[in-house]
Amino acid sequence: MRRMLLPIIKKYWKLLLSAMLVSALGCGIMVGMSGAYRSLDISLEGYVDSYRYPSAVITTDVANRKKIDSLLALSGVRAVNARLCGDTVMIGGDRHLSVRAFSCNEDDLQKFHIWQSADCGERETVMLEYNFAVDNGIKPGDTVKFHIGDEYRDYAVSAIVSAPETLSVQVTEDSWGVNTDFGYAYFSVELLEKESKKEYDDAKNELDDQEDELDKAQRDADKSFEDIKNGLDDALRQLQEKDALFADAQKEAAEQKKLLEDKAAELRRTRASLEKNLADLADAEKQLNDAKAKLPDAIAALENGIAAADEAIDMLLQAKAGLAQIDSALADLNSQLAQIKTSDNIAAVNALRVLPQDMLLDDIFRADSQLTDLIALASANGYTIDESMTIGEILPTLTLFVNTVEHDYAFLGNEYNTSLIERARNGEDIVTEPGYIALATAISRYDNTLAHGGDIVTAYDNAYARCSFLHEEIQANDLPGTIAILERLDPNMTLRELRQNVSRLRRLVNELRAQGVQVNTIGDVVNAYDSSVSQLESAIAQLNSQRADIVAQLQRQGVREQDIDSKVSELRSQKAEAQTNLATARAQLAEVERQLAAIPGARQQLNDGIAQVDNGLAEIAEGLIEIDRQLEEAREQLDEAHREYEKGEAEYEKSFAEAMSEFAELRSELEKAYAQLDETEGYEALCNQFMLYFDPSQDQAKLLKAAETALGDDIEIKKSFTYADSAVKNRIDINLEPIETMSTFMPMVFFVVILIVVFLFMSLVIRQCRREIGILRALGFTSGSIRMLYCGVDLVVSILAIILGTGIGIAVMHYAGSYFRDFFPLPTFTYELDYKRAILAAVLTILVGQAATLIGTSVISKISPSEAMTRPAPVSAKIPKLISALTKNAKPMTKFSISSMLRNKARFIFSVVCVAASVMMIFSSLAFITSKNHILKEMYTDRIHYDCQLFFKEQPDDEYREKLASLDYVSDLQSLRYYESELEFNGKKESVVVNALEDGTDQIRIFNERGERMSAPGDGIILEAHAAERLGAKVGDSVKVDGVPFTVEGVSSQSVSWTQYISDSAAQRLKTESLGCYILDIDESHEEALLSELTSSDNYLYSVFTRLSFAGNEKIFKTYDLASMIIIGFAIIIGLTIVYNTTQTNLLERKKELCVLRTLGFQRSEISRSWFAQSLLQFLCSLAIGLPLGVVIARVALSKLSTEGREYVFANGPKEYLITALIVFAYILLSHLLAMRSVKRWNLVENVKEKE
Amino acid sequence: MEKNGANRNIILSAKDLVKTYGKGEAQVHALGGVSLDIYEGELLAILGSSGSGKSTLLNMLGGMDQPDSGSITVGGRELRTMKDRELTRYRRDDVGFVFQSFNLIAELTAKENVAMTAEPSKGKNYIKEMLELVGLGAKLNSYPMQMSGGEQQRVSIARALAKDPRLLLCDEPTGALDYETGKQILIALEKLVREHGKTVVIVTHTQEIGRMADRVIRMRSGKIIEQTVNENPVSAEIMEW
Repeated sequence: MRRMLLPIIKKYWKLLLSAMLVSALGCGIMVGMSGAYRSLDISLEGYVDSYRYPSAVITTDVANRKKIDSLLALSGVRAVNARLCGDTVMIGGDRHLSVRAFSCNEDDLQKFHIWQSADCGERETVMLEYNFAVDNGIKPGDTVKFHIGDEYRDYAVSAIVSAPETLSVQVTEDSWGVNTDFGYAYFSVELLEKESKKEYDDAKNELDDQEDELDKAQRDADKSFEDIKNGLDDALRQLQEKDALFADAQKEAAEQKKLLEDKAAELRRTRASLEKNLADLADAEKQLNDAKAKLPDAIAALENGIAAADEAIDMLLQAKAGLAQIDSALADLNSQLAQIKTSDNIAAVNALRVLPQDMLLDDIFRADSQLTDLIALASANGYTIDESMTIGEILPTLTLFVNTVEHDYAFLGNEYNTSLIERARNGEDIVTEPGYIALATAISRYDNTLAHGGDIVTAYDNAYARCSFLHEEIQANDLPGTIAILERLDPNMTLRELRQNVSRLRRLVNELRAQGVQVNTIGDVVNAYDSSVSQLESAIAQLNSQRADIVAQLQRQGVREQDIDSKVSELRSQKAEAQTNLATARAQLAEVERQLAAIPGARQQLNDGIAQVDNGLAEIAEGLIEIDRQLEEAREQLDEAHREYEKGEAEYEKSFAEAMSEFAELRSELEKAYAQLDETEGYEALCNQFMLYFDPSQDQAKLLKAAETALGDDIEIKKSFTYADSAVKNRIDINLEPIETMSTFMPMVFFVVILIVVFLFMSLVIRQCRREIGILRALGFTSGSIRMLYCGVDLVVSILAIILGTGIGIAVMHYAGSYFRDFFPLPTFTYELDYKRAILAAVLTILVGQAATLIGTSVISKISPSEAMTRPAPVSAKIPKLISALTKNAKPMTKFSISSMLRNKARFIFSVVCVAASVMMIFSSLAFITSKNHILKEMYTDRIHYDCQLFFKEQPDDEYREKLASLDYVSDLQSLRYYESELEFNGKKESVVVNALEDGTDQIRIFNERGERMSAPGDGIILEAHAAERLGAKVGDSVKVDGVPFTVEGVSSQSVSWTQYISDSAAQRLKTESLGCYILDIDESHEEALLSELTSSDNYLYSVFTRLSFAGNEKIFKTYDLASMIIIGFAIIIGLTIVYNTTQTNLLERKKELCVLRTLGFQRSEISRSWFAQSLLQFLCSLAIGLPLGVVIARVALSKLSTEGREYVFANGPKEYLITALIVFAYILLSHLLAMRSVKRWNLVENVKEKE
Repeated sequence: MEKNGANRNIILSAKDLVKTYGKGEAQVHALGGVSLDIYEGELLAILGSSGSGKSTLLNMLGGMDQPDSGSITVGGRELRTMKDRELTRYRRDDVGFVFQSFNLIAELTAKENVAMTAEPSKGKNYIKEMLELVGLGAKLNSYPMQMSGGEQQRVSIARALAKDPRLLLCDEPTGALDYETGKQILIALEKLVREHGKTVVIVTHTQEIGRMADRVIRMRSGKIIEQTVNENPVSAEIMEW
């Protein structure tokens, strides 16, 4: 099996080499960039360690050895170093430079890195910071001047040194925009001690002399104070005797006063009583007058109330009577209506309505009564009639009966028949006579004896008698008339109903007639009935309406019907009460008038009484005043004597105390001066620092707090911080942050993409080995052994990739590392790989390759060996509809090309994914370059239009401004106050920088989020977008700047140096102090002259030249360019490799067809052109996928890179899209051309004959 | 047409063609000094067993391979001195190939396969005509996979004819076909010669095909061992083999 390894590698060496190369690039960038960052990190760490940066620093007003001891006594403090520190001005290289001077000596715990040094002999020396010295062209051995005391002194530069605390990103030789006129200088501590020793001795002698003079002065003062004290004691004794006499006089006066006061008190009580009576009288008079005024109204109101009550009672009683009357009438009417509107009557009337209205009542009654007879006759003669039959049913029967009887009566009695019967009576046989049968038939209807052999004569006589009877009955009862009446009736009515209705009708008619209504016909009855009902109902409705009106009227009065009686009772009760009240009111009025008439007399009596009491009181008061006057006179004389004594005593005490205090103060100051002199031991400076070294295992913040406490209250702590919170570490961290992002995040993304590519690549390689795998299986190799074989191949590739990748990584690390070390002036830079990441990269590379191999071989192993061994049959690839539409009019060759590519969709997708990854990497890398260009443009082209910005401790006065403005080389000088303020809105607070712009300035331009230039701020504020968003403030809102309200005039967009803008005039409202700042235009050649002018001012801090700042920022950004270019380069290599391999594989797969085409006369260039359609399609698909992914990755990376105050915005535009497309197109074209070179070497004869 | 070659136009003339493959003991002399002329409008059959050099000769005549020595002259141009680009142009303009295994592009329809090699200026109708000529007017839009072997070979012939070549070179055109289908192909080729005046060279190891040719060349071990002229060539329709 192992012998198979090499042949496989040899056969697929190009593909495997490509996979290996891609893997190696992934490993390389991962190992290299992480290694470069780690190298920078450990170099920085090593630098800080070698310097022995303290755990914490406390800056105070003085440094003190005893304080050092107290700090060292603290548990957890391992070492303390103290150093002097202060700001001064230095002249070096003909330039005035601001410096912060520190003391140092060889015993210091911090160790500087010495870049260069020189032997300066006996001269007093100073060491200068590396950046500062280099930038100002100062070398070891040079002499520089320092302003110490009131003069400049010469010092030799003994060394150029650096320390982490002075570490900053060194961007250009001119530093990074901030001018290096501000630097660091280190003096020997012995030099300062020697200088201060002489001062110490002089100060001590002076203090001794002061102490002697103080002792003498105190002795003289003690004697003078003793004499004064004796005189004061004599005066006090005399004063005490006078006090005793005055006390007796006071006692006597007090007794007299008490007697008078008792009398006066009694008189006052009398007077008060009289005054009270008088007041009561006045109140009574007022009340009586009020009552007198009010009572008539009350009486009138009561009278009105009684009249109203009467009226209401009448109304209610009337209503009650009316209602009762109506109810009674209603009852009658309802009773009548009920009487008439009985169910019988209703039924009868309803029955009548269907009868002929003109029919006489007598007729119908008669017909009813005769009908009984008629039916009885008919029934007796054999006609069947009963009461359930309808009139329509019985009428024919009745008619037949009457007609038959009438006919028979005439027939039997006619002459012929009479004669026949006469003949029969005469014994003649008449049977044979004509008409006999008819006669016999007629006789038989009335007598049936004939049928039983009876005698015809007898039968005739009986029959005729019977018929005559019937005839008479019919005529007598006018039965035909009855029938005629019945015919007019409803034929559907039964006889029973007829009887019932006639009975009802009779009752109704009787009732009507009883009421005096004349009714003759049926119509009369119906009308009379309807009229009666209608009248009654109308009368009832009318009465109901009247009743409702009365009830409604009562309700309007607030009285319910059922409450009328109680309401009447209530009203009567109220009326009775009102009548009682009326009588009372009238009596009261009479009484009031009587009392009012008596008041004037009573008042006069009381006034007379009061006047008498007042006279008595006035006499007593005069007596008391006289007593007091005499006593007061005596008291004033005595007080005067006391005051004189106290004044003398106080003057003595004060003078004595002052003298003693003065002596004590002088002595204390003297002692303090002695103590201070001893304690400082010659150290004294504006600012001093304790450098503390803590036990690293303990809480550093707690130790710092303990140290601060240990220093005591008598020392002012100006600043203190642990190393973790120090500005140095913060500055280093800020500078490291973007480098870390670029060195870790982007390579990680890149590596993940590479892993995906490698996975796909290895999957593709395994697919290519399908035939070999089929052969091996046919030869009896197991799937496991085949998997092992190909995993072995992949392992070889992976190991080679890791080795090569590590090599590339080391190269990248050195290249990127050399760039990183330029950032900081590090004395040493140690290259060291980030082993964890390197191992991670190696492991992932192997795992991904192995996974792809295992999956690929497993899939192919499932295919039968015979199938695997044969080349897949050429099939007509299904071209997606979109591509099919696009190539509809394309040449057959182009269609062939595209379908050849799409035949192997997995490969096509692989290729597109890889190129898309390449597109993504190129595009996102370009985003960094575009973003930093955007920042530079926004800052230096759009916003800043001045050449230089000067900073002062406080805003210089107008005189200084005029002085600067009048310089020949300065133009357009403007103020730009700089506030570090707090914004407040809706309870949210935000610390921000606020700049106050001069009116009409064009030196700073502000733009909104749409990129439009905004007007300068008026009386309000222009907020920066981030601050506005955090506060939730919008245009028109009122925000507070350090407590002062400002209206938001606009929101500006700024990627860097987020600043709020107000106008200079509006800034006058702010109470907070601003940092002074000017902006101006200056020619580059005069920058030195300006700096010389500025450093003569104590107020000056530093300056920023736009030109240098721009160059500095540009250099910082080169880190991104570097990372971007590396990634772009790698992306191109990967894309090139993938596209080359894909094109090559596609070509090989269709080698036979292409050779046929060559045989048929196609030039290579024609085949190349048509085959490029594949690459073009890949290119378009990759762009469609890669560009959106690139946008996403770029946005994520830029957001990770963004820090507070510096936002990297996604600024890619059409240009970047185009550049990405051009780069990808270029390498795709190159890959294509490289792949097409192989076509030239193909043997047409062999390939054309190759069997499928 | 005179069968002995007198007064006929020679469209291709090969002289002393030599081709050797390999080196040393493994050296194989594919052609050992073969000379022949091809006349316009003739049906020439080159017969021989496998390894006789007939296909090598055909490849050289078609500009697919170059002899080690000797010359091939076509219309006054010498193939040996032509560069790759010129040879390609020769194959495109002067020669049509019909292969044993058809070599059609599977992804293209019959029409597209033919259109691929046709001069664009001749238009779609011309392509249709070519396919109708070989009896495939109804299969214009069929893919090779949807056609029988004979139909595929006829598309291959139509493709070769589409550029109106002076010479049609057929390498075992019936080799991959059954008897009936092969016969139809031969009928089609015969029709091209007899009715349309095309010049056709057929390389085959089927001796019977020689009977339908105007001229027959027999080869063995890289040499022409016999050259005969059929005064009365048999119609392909009645041939059997």
